[in-house]
Amino acid sequence: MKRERGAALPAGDSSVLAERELIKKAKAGDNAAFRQLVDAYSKRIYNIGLKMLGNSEDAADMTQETLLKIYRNLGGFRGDSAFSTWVYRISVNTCRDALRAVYRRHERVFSGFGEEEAEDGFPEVADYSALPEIIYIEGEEMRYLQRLIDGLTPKYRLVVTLRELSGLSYQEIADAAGISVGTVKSRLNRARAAMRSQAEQDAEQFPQLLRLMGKEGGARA
Amino acid sequence: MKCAELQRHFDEYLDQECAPEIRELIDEHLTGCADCRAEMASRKAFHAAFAGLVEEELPCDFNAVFSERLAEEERRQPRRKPLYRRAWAKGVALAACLLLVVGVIGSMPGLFGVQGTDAAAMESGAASEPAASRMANQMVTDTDIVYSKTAEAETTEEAPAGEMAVEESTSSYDAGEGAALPAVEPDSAVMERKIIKDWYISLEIMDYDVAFAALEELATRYGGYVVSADSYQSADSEYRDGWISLRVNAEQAEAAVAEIATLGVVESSSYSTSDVTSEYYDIEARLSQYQAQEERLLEMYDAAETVSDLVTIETELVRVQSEIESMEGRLRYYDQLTALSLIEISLYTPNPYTQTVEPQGWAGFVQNLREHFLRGINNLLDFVANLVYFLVSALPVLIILAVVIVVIVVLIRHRRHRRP
Ligand SMILES: [Zn+2]
Repeated sequence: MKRERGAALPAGDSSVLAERELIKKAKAGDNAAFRQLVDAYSKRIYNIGLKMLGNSEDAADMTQETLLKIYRNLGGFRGDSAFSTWVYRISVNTCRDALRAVYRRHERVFSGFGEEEAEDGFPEVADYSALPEIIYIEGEEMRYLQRLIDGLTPKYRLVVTLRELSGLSYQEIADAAGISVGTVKSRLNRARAAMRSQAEQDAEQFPQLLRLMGKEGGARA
Repeated sequence: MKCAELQRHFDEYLDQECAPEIRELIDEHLTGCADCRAEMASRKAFHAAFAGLVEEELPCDFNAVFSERLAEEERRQPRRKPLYRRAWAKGVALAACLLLVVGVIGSMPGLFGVQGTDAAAMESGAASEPAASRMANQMVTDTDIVYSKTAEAETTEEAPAGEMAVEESTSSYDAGEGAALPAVEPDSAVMERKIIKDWYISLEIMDYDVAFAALEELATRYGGYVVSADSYQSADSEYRDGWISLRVNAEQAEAAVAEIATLGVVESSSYSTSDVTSEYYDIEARLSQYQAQEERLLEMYDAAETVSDLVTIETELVRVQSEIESMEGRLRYYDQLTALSLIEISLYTPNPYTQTVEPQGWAGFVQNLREHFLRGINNLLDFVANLVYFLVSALPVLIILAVVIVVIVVLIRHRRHRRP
């Protein structure tokens, strides 16, 4: 049921072919074809930016920058990987640069999405203390889930965003983020565990949240 | 304990990303373990909750802003346009050559006349560049992009007399289509032309880091620097690609491009030029007017007697000086762009999976068919163009040969005619 919404973009053979046709035209200098080609992705890229950068201006800038990079380098795309993979890879890289700039603005150090660092040790998965005080508003479950994602540290937030919002497969996430499928699995596991335990903790204050975990609780508890 | 171990895979299970043997284990275990069934149900609800997340819409001005940035990008550096455009450019070259052949044959006595005027034009031409290459540059501006094959023709700037034919073809193009070209200002003959020339290269390399380091080193050696760079790596580290933009001394750009080509296999190489000569000299002319005005104002300032005069003159002076500054800045900018050529290189390592990921089935067949067909057309055009180049360069010899043959044939016929 998840994959329906998640729509890994090339949904069927026919759309892959249509996309290939558009790529060919765009490579030949057809700008209308290029616009059509990236139109399918810009909203998705923007939303990755939104989750990773935290505000719409930076997200829109990052999306523009990504699309221009795609435009400049379309000639170098040879169809060895899926076009969507290539697009997500550029998006994630652009996002990384943008996030670095955001961190610099706040005089913090951003060390990337943990592409090279070893998986062991005690990674900080989430930090909910930095988020605004308002935790849950009645009926606003989605906003609460956004908050759970926002509290994750960047490298965990990235895999969760690519999974839950962009609907990518583990392999697609691995390609986009430049990490192995095993790393994707372990990060998603940790991130979800962190979000679950936070939700359970918050449920003590807001029992309605128990519904998110399929547990009876509701308003009467 | 076994429960906890299995539960570590529940998220993968729900994501449908679980290895089949683990999936089987879990299914089997769930039938007999109520705790795990409850845990799975809870996780499933949590997963389902996230399915309710929706993506936000793009800001409403997004498309307008992007259109603007795209247009700006295209003004700055027109895209290379492979295959179709290439065939078209060759077509133009071919047509120009045919035009030349027809023109030359049509006016045989004019043959040496053309060369004469061309030589004269070259002598009175721009100080730094021969007329022919100037014309070639204009032709480039006209067609935007010229591919390396055609680029060879342009490098005949200092070509020996033997290759005159190629230069002729450009000047005859000019003569034929002269009206379509931007008019050259009368005094441009004594001005240095200001041409911004950018290069684009696709390069397949074996070792990304080695090639990247070589390019960085090359940029410095050719009097330039690395403008920007970016690279990607596939998750399994089998495949890398990226790009690097360099600026190098414009006069050595061709040598730099040739050297870059030795670093790997060049898949495509092209350049674009834009001619800023008229803007440049326009700014320069206005600058000298403003400088004269500044001088006059300074004199007036020294001679001024009342305070209100002083204030008026000073205000005007500030305005003029800021204009001068901005024009000087603009000139410096153009100087920099023309002095340092941009070379943009797409780099990639060979993909180990290329063989297996080729398009499959009927669609793949059709695609391959099309590519081969286009390649065939390109090869044909290449061949015909080369043939025409050859014929044109051999024309003087052929004409003499033809005359000799005609004379011999006439003589033989004449004899036969006499014999009986
Ligand atoms: Zn169990």
